[in-house]
Amino acid sequence: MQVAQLTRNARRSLPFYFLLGAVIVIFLFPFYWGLITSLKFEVEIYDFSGNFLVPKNPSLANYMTLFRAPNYFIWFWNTLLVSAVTTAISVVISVMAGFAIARLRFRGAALAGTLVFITYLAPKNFLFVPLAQILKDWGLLGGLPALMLTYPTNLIPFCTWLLSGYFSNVPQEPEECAMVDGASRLGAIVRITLPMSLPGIITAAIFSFTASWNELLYSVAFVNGEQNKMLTNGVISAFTGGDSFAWGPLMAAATVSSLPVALLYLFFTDRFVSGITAGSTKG
Amino acid sequence: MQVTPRVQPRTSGAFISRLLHKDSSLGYILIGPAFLFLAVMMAYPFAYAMYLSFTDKQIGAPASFTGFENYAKLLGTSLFSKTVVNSLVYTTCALVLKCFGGLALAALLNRPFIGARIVKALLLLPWIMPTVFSTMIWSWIFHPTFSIVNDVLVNRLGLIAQPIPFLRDERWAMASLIFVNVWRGIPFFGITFLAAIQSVSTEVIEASKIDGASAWVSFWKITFPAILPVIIIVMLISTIGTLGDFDLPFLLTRGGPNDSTTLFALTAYTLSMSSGLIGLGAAVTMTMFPALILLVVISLISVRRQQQD
Amino acid sequence: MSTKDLASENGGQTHITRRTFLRAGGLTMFGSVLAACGGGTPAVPSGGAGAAPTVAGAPVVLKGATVKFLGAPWSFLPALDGVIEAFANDWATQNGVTVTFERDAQLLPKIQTAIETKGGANIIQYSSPPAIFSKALADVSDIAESIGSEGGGYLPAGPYQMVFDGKWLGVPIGQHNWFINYRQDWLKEEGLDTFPDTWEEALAVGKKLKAKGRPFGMTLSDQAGGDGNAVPRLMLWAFGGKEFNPDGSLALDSPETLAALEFCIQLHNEAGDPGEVGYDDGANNAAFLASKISMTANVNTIYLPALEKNPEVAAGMNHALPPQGPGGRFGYGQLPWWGILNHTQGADLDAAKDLMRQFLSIKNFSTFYKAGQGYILPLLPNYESEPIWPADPKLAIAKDMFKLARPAGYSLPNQTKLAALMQDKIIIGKLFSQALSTGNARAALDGVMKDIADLKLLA
Repeated sequence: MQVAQLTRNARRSLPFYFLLGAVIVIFLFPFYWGLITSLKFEVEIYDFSGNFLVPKNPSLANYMTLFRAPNYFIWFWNTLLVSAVTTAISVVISVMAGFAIARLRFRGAALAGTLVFITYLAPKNFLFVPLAQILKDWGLLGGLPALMLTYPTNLIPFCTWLLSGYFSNVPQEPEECAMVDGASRLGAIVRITLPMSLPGIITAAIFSFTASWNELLYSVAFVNGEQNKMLTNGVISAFTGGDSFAWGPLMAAATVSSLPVALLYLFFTDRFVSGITAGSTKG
Repeated sequence: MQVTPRVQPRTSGAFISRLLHKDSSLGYILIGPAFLFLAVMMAYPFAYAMYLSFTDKQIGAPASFTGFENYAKLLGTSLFSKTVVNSLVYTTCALVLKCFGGLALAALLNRPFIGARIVKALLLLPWIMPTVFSTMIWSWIFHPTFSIVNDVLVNRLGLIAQPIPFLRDERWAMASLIFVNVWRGIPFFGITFLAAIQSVSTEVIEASKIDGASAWVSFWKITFPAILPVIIIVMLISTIGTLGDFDLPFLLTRGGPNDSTTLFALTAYTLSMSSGLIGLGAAVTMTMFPALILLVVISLISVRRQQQD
Repeated sequence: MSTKDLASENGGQTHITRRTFLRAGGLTMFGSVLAACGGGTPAVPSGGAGAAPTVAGAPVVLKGATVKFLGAPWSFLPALDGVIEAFANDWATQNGVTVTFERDAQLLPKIQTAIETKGGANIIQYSSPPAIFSKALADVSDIAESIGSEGGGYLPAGPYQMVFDGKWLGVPIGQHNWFINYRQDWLKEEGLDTFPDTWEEALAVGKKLKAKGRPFGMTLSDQAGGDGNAVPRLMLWAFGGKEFNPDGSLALDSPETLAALEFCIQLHNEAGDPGEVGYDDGANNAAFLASKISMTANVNTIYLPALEKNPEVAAGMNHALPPQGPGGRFGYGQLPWWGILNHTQGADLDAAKDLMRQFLSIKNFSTFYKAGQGYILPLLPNYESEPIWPADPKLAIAKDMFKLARPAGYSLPNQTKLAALMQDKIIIGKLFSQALSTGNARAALDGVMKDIADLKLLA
C-alpha cells in the first residue's frame, strides 16, 4: 500500500522534478562552463571535440597563473577591506536612520522616509562624473578611501529603507519594559531592539557587502595604481588586455573571486529573502 | 550607556541623556548622519552634475558656462538617439521578462520538494555572482568563434547551418544583453516572489479552491493581488538598476555593434572618461532625470496606497 | 651605492659620472635581459650614442625625482614589459630616481584621470596619435629630434603621427606591422606554394579552403584596438580607398571604398569565418592556433606562441606580404609612443625626459626590438644594420614590412584631431564590421559617415 502510494506520488512529481532540473541546468550551466574552462589548459580551451563537458587533461595551471598575477592577493585584500569598511559605514548609518524613521515620532519623519527612498532612485552609475570631480577637489581621487566614501551613497538609502521596514515590524513592548526597569533609551535600543532586528541587519550587511564586492564603474573610474585595484577591475585589466583575452585565467578568476559572496549567501539565503520581503511589504 | 534617566542633576551629561531620550531630539540625532552623508555625496554631486552639464568642461581644462549647448549637441548626434532607444528597449524587455519569469519560477518552487533549501540557494547564484565575472563567462559562451552554444547547435545537433551572431549582429547583441540581464534577475525576482507568496494565508486559497476555483484562477484572484506590493517594489528597484546598467554593456558588447547596445551610463562614461568631454557626459546623465522623476512619482503613489491599506 | 654618492657630491661632475656609470650599468643590464629573452650576443655600439644632457650646460640633479609610467601591458609579449622595467629600474637606481609602473588594459580612462588630477602618471604609453591629448602633453621635440637624427631620420609615419601643431607630442617607440599569417600546409593541398599575391586569387583559394572547414579569419571588426584598425585599412587601401584627401577633407565616401567593402562582403561570405566581424584582438590568434582558420592578418603574436605551445601549427604556417588589390600593395603600421604629461615639472620633468632619451637611444632600445622578434619594428633606417632582426626565416618578412607600412590616415599632410579620433574609436573597423554583418555596403558607409559627423561635433 505504502510503496504503491510512494511510487504514485513520485510519478506525479516526475514532471515537476524534470522541469526543476531543466531550470537548474539553464541557470547554472554558465558556472559549470566557466569552471570547466578554467580547468583546461591553453590549447584545450578551444577544443570542443568529444565530450566537451569534461576536461580531458584537467589542470590547475590557470589558477596558478591567476595567483601569480603580481597583485592578485593585494586586489583580494583591497576588495575585502573596502567591502568591510563600506558595509560598516552603511549599516551603522542606516540602522540609526531606519530606526528613527520607523519608530520615533518627530517632525519630518515621514518626509525623511520619502526623501531616503527618492535618493535610492538616483542610479549610482549616473553620479560618477561629478563624484570624480568632487573627489579630485578633495584630493581623494585615486586611492581606496575614494571607494569607501562613495560606495555607501547608494547603499545607505536602500538599507535605511529596508531596515525601517524591518524595525516597524519589531514589537515595541520589550524595549519599553526595559526602560521601565531602568535602562536608558539608547541602552534599551541597543540591548533589546537591535538583537531582535538582527535578521534585518544581517540582510542589510550582506547586501552592502556583496554590492561593494561586485562594484565595477567606481573602481574603474576612481582609483589609480596597481596597488589600489579591486578584484573586478584588477582581473579585467590583467587578463582582457591587448592582443590576448586570457580565457583560462579569466574563468579561474571568475570562480575564485565569486566564492566569498557565494558562501555568504549559501549560509544566509533564507534570512536574506525574508529580510527583503519583510522590508518591502511593510516599508 | 548606563545613564539613569530618572535622576536628573543639572549637568551636561543629564542634558545629553535627555536629548537621547526624547523622540523629537533623538530622531534628528539618529537621522543626522544619513542626511549629512546623502547631502554631501548625493545632493551635492547631483547639483554639480547639473552645473557641469551647462559647461564645456573637458578633461584637463577649466570649465566655462555654455548654457544649453551640450544638450543641443547631444540632440544632433545619432549616438544619443541610439542611447535613448536602446535604454528603453533594454529596460522594458528585461523588466517584463524578469517579472513573468520570476512569477513562473516562484510558482514552480511553491511546493515542498527534496532539497528545497539547497536548490533555492543555488538558483540565487546568477544574482549573487559578481556581474563582472558572470559576464566574462557569458562573453566566452557568446564568443564569435568558440561559442559552446553555437558548437552544440551547429556541429552536434545540426539545428542551424550558420552560427548565431550573438554579439555581432545589432538585434542579436541587444537580445543577448537582455538575456544575460534576465538570467541574472529572474532568480532574485523568483525567490522574493516566492517568499511573498508563502506569506499569503493558505486558508483563503484553500477556501477558494473548495469553491471550485482552479489553481490558475485562485492565483490571479487571490495570491497575485496579495503580493502585488512586493512585485511593485521589486520591479521598481530593478528598473532603476536596469536603466542605469553599466557593467553588462561595458563588458559584453562595449556598446556595439554600431552603438546598438550602448546605454545611458555607458554613453556618459564613453564621452566623459574616454573622450574627456565631461560637460557632455554630465548632460547625458541629466537627460535621464525626466524618466526617473516619473518613476519616483509612480512609486510614491504606490507606496502611499500601500500605507493606506 | 657609490654611484649615487658620487653623483650627488660633486655638482660639476654629476653628468659625466652619471653617464659613465650608465654605460657600465647598461652593459650588465643588456646581458641579463638578453639571457631572459633566449640568448644572442649583446651588441653595444662602441662609443655609444650617449644621449645629450637634459639641459645643455647646467648640471641636472635627478636624485629624489619621481617618474610614474602608465601604459597598457604588452600582454602578448610580457618580455617587452620586462625590458622596459629592467632598463628603467637600472636607470632609476643609478640616478636615485623612483620609478613606478602601472599597466592597465582599460588605459584611456586612466590617462584621462591622470590628466584631470594632474597626478598618477608622468610618462604615458599609448597607441592612437598623441593629438587626442594635445592639451595635456609636453613638447618633446628635443628628444624626438635627437633620437631621430641619431637613427638617420624618422620614416614619414613618425612625424606624421606624432607632430601636432608643429610640436612633437610623443616619441614613437616603433611600429607594429600586420602581415598575412597563413597555413602553408593547407594551401599546398590546394596546389599553392605560398599565399597568393592578389586579393582576387586569395578569394579563389579561400572558397576552396572554406568548403573544407578552413575559412579565412580576418579581424574586420570594431572590437579590436589593434587588429580592428589595421586589417580593415589593409583592405580599404588595397582597393584604392582612403580616409582623407591630401587637402584634409574626408575621402572615405568613394567608389573605391564601396569596392573594398563589396569585395570584403564577398570574401566574408564565401571564404571567411562568420565570427570574424566580431573578433577582438585575441580572437583571430586563438582561432588560428586552434586550427579553426587558415589565414589571418596579424603581427607575429600567433607564430611566437605557436613555436612553444602548438608546434604543428608553427611548422605548418608561414607569413606573407599583404596581397595587392586594384589600388596596389599596402602595409599598415601602428605607432605606440611615449609622451610626458605636462603637469610634470621640475626634477620630475628632467628625469622623465632623461629616461626617455636614454632608453630610446639605439644603444639601449635595440634590446626592446630584439626581444619583440619583429612584433614591433623601428622607424629609423639606421636600425637596418643593427642586430635586431629576427633570425627565424619565417619572420624574415619583418624587414620587408618595415618600410611598406603606412599609418592610419596617411594621405593627410599633417595629423588632425579627427584622424586621431577615427583611429581611437576604430571607425574604419566599424565600417567593415557593419558592411559585412549586414551585407549592405552603402548603408554601412552612410552610418559611419554619420558617426564621423558626430566625432566632428563632439571633438
